[in-house]
Amino acid sequence: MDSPAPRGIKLLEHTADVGLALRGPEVETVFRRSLEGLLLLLGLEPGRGGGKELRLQVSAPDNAALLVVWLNELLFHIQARQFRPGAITILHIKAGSLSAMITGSTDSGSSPPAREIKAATYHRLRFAKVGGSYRARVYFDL
Amino acid sequence: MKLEKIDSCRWRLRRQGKMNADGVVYASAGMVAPLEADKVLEQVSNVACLPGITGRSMAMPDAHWGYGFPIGGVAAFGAEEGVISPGGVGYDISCGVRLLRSSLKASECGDRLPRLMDALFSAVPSGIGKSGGVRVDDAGVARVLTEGARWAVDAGFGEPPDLEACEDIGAMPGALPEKVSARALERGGPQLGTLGSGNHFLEVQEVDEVYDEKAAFCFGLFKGQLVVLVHTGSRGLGYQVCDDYIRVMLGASRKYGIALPDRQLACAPLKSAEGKDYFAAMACAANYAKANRQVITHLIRQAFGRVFGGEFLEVVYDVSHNIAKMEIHQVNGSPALLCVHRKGATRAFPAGHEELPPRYKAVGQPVLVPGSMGTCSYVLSGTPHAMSETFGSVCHGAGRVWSRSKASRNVDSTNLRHELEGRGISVRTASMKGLAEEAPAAYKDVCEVVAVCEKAGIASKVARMRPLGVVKG
Repeated sequence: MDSPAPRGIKLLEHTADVGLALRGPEVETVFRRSLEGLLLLLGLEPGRGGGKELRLQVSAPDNAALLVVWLNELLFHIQARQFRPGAITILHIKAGSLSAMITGSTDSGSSPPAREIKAATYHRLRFAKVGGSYRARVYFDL
Repeated sequence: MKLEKIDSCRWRLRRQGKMNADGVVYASAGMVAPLEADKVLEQVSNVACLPGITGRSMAMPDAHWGYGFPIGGVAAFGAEEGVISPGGVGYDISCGVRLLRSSLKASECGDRLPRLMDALFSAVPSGIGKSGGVRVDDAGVARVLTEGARWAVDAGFGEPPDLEACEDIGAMPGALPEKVSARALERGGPQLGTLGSGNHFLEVQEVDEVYDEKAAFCFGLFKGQLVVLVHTGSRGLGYQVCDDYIRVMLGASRKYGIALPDRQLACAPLKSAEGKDYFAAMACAANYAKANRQVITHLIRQAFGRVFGGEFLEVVYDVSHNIAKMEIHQVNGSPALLCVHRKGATRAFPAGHEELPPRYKAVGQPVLVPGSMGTCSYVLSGTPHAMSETFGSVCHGAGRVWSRSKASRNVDSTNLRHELEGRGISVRTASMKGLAEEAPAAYKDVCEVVAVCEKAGIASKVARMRPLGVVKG
């Protein structure tokens, strides 16, 4: 969390934990930025090369819940399977459903994350269109 | 939201809106303003909105903003009409504390303390995502999830008397391994016998004050004694169980028409299939945590043996502070079966309670309250008053006041390490960043937290320990 957050991503303080405020012109942008924000929280650089492709398919009743499910899916692959995400291609997204292809690496010798994240939570979760952009807020349990 | 003062350590959040019960916050006058600013009251109020809540929605003096429930939250729900909520337990299911006692005086350690700290840091795997050296096959995993610390002792990671000094004699009943996902097993399987990171730690301490000689004697504690406090939980397995079941509970909340003030409070009736499944999976994660602390105990003993020869550490107690348990409590003068959620709160049963080990029946349950790194920790005992007022619950630690980001900004980890070592506290850590995040300044004063509990009559002080060395994940 020492690096400055990229555009459309803001770190939120929480007494025990940490959150992300995300913003983008499209729903898809918010989901892309959520991966960037997650890597920022974990202190990881995007994975380069490696040639590993990970196809993720997640669903939930609405976009807010979908964001949590998506982030927890990513956390599982990053923390339990040492996947280091690189480029992301969102193949399909509509309300409550997302499929994406992520290229990256699974080098078990790569640096571990700088922190452990237990999960993305549903606490004060938000995903809404405000004016001309989409805004989301999600807190993580550390 | 405004609190009404009841007395010098209790504050009422009067029932309003969709609340089904009052809220009560245990705090000194000086603690109230930060609590109000920290969204704790909103969370106490949200918990009070859940169906079947019995008594009050409570926050202990170490309470702070959590997710769903406040950390330091206690709430009980009737077995017939109430609910169970994974958010009322947390991701680190059965995170808890274990205290080990030696027969040594700290003053006898001399120059062996640095060697001991090195041996402990080397013996107990700590840090982010760290794997342990314990490998179990599928049959073994099923036993870990159902038998907890009893499996560990049976597998050679301890002695049978260890179990008598554990809550639930080392294994929470009701565990069904088939209710735990393959993903949870994959995430947690390799981590058995590891400390983890974040606020998890292992501390070598000296008992520097005894307040209750009779209880201290009963717990095997004496002034000047060298003890070891371990704080860890169910690792990735528990995190995944919680995440899996919050998704189930979100559907269940809709199915049973439960209005949620915060989605993290997703829940299901205790009598429903969803509620029963979560309880069974949570019990598995609790047993994993108990096995984890038992394996770590074994590793600590080996490290002690390398430094102090034949010295053997005995278990004083092992207790969870993130758990939901079915317990019988008096409600309006009659016994009632309740599901007591303790999210960052410790069970504190009084003398004579049938669930206490025989050796502690005369004085009550040992309650282990770790302070922040570099500050003292306490051993308390449960009281009858806690049974009537807090469903036999009390605080679990100091309680954060700073976010981790704020602690990182304000604390230089190298300076902190020098400061701690200057005070005679050896530090071994896998992460200097993590050290800064867990700086004492990021926490409340544990002495004040304990003082409020004692003044409220929900626990009694038995002994205080000061840190000599800390291993941080």
